[in-house]
Amino acid sequence: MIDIYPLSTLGYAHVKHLLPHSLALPILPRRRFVQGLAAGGVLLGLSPFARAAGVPSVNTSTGSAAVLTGTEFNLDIGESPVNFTGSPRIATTVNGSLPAPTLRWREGDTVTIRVKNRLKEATSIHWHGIILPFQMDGVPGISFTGIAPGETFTYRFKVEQSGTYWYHSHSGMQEATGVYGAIIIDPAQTDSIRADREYVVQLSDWTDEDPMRVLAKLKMQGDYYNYNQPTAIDFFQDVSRDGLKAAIDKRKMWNEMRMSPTDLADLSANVLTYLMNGTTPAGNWTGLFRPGERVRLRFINGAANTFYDVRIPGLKLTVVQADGVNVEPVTVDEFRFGPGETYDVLVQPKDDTYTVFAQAMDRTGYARGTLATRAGLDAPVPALDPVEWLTMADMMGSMGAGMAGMSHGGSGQSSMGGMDHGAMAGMNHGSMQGMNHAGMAGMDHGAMTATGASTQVRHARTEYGPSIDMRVDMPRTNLDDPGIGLRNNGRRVLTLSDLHTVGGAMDPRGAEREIELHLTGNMERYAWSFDGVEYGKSTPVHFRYGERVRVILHNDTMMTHPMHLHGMWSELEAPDGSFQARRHTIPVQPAQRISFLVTADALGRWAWHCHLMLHMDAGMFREVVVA
Amino acid sequence: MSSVNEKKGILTVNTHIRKRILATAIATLGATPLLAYAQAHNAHSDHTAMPTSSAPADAASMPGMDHSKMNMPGMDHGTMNMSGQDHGAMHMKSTPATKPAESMPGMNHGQANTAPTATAHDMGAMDMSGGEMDHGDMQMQGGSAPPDARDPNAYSDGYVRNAGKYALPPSEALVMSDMHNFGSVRFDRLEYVKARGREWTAYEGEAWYGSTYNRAVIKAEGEVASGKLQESETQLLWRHAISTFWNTELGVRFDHAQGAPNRE
Repeated sequence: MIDIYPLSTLGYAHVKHLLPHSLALPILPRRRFVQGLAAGGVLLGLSPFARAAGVPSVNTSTGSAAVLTGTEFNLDIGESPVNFTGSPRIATTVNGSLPAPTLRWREGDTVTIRVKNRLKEATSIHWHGIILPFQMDGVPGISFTGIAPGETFTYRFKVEQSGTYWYHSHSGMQEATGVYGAIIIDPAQTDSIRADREYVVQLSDWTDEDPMRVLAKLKMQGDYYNYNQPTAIDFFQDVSRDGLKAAIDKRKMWNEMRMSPTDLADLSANVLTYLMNGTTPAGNWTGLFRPGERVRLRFINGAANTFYDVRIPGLKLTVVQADGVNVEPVTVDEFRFGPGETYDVLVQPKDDTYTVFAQAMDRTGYARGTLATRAGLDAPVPALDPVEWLTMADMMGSMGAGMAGMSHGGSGQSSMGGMDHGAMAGMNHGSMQGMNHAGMAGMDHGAMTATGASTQVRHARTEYGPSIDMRVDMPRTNLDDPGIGLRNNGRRVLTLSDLHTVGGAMDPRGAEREIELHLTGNMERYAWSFDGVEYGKSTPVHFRYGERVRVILHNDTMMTHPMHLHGMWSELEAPDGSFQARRHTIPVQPAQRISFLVTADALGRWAWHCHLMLHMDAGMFREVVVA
Repeated sequence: MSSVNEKKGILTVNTHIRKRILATAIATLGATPLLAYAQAHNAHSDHTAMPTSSAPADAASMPGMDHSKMNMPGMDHGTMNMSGQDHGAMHMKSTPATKPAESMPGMNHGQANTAPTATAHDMGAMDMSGGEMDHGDMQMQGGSAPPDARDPNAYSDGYVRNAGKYALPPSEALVMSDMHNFGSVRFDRLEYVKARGREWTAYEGEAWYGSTYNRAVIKAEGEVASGKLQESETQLLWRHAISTFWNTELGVRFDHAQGAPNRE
């Protein structure tokens, strides 16, 4: 018993869905059926699945989501069929839409959102980056009890901020299976960012597998989905470039650490389909413009697992907002962002077509869309950049930058200038074989000024057990490293050091005290934690109500973790203690040590976690108590 | 056809050999976990005993990085001590940083022996002078916690989850996969041969169920011929993680073979 909906009907439903806001391509090009599937533009209800899931065979709307405005909203979370790969699957969706509808609020309004649960399991909605009372934050088990099947929970809070944000389920793996949408909050006054036109560009990832099963596989084998393992060919290439000894040493080092230099993302295109506004690369989400217009693109990374490197060949990106907060405009060619982060950029397209290219950090695939002057056009899609091995700087922080034979493809340490190695004649290299002192230059001593975060690394005693596979004793603290795969790529890539929030810090006070936490994991066991302690064994972190506290996050892993503190802003600072940017999600690179200040002005219990969903679920999660 | 006969021959030989090595194997099984545990602690390193993967086992040292010779105690820029290397008269002791040093322009170790000017290099409290460079401490993996290691609960100020101010009751506790159990069944070998009206089957595999650090494990291998179990070796183990890459396994083993006494 298979119901296949005629494409025309679906197309109509889709178009109708889009019309009210007419942000996206108004008419889908007609495609053959399979391409339509690949296009992910909606599609069929396959009864057996639908029946099995106990839901009516409704059409799921994918692609640019409807925009809901006002102060009262009704969101129904249910299951609906999708098909991104040719295999029909059941997604969890909001109002039958993937991504969920875009909510457009106004700063100063009090909004009421009734969320009804039509699933068979509990659900929740978390308003990512929104400042609100903790009972409204939507984390089951911490802020409220969750929304049981059949029940409706009413969220109500005053909107205190403006900018681009997003919302998603905080229950189980529902975020990975479709419950995520954009929030746009218009400023109470006129928006200082002027644009002729704007689009939400929400990036996400989809897996046909049950995400819990994905996690189970990683528990069996941490590199299950890593298809970029070093090969014999890589070895011979290294030999010809670096010589035999260096090539052997490099492998020896990685082997003996039992780590993989290419395990950048845990998951890969092998199991993920990369989506832009709920549309596959073949589907080619398209935003229309008139030449010469200033177009504001609100980039949201709503992926469960994927860091994206975003660029639009032929266009400069002027970054004007990060995590909903305006920053001093900075013009770049490319930026990287992780799950949870948002960037607003302005572009001024003049030609007919441009590709919006978002490659996954591990270079196994990409999400892609098009900016065009009319529907049906597309521009060349760039090739994926080559896979880059992690360097010793990624493993050992500043110490490792100079490890001979291990620094592969440039390091991000831009600070080597002027160091005269030749003059180090008296140095006894014999006792430090394999070590090249060039690396010492990468050490960042900036943090030793009076106001910066302490640089004394203090590992927790729980970091010496089976939950940990590495510790970094000499982290790098510089914020000007674009990260693995983006260093020296010939493009101007945004880094954290480029971000300067307009108006400075929200609280002029310096830190009253420091909290140092380490991001830890064991990739082989697929365990992730703070300080080697997973959530289930952890105690909360206490912020004293009203205090200004410095948080140091020290990454003892070789992966980048987008760290999201709920309820309060994270005010990122430079190593010297000067204010950098106000964020709700801060990516911490391998072997990096960053610090930010928090004004603990939000009573209650809050979640704090890595926004890579599997890391969060594996235990890289803490509760924060503000009292 | 002849290959089938050969196969049978091999099986038979195997059976005999196995009987002979059983006793040795049993003795080893009992000893290995303890041995592993002891080694891991002696070496202050995780690179001993009982690999869980096929990685080489002799990795106490890390050539190419050679941590045993590379120690920079604490790796703490505040008190960085690089003295074992002969820096000449390079003194940069406790000079307060005067500017952010994302770069170290002009850092020239050759000139650094004009000590006072080192301040300009913004080395902060970097001490490259006296003291002995202890090459024994720095380890990126394994080791045991120093006495002054940070208390992981120090920031809780006595707060716990699911009790106290603003907390939801324990019945509403957030439970994530770190508290879930996972399971896996894996067959390394599953053979079936049918010829001349006889059948042979051989199996070898492992199944586990449990958390990240504690798992119940069944390891089984055996051979079946003509519907009869010819020989088998079955282990029921508790696998406990003791360090980064090492587990101990404790449990019982049951051996069965045709024409030989069963052993436990």
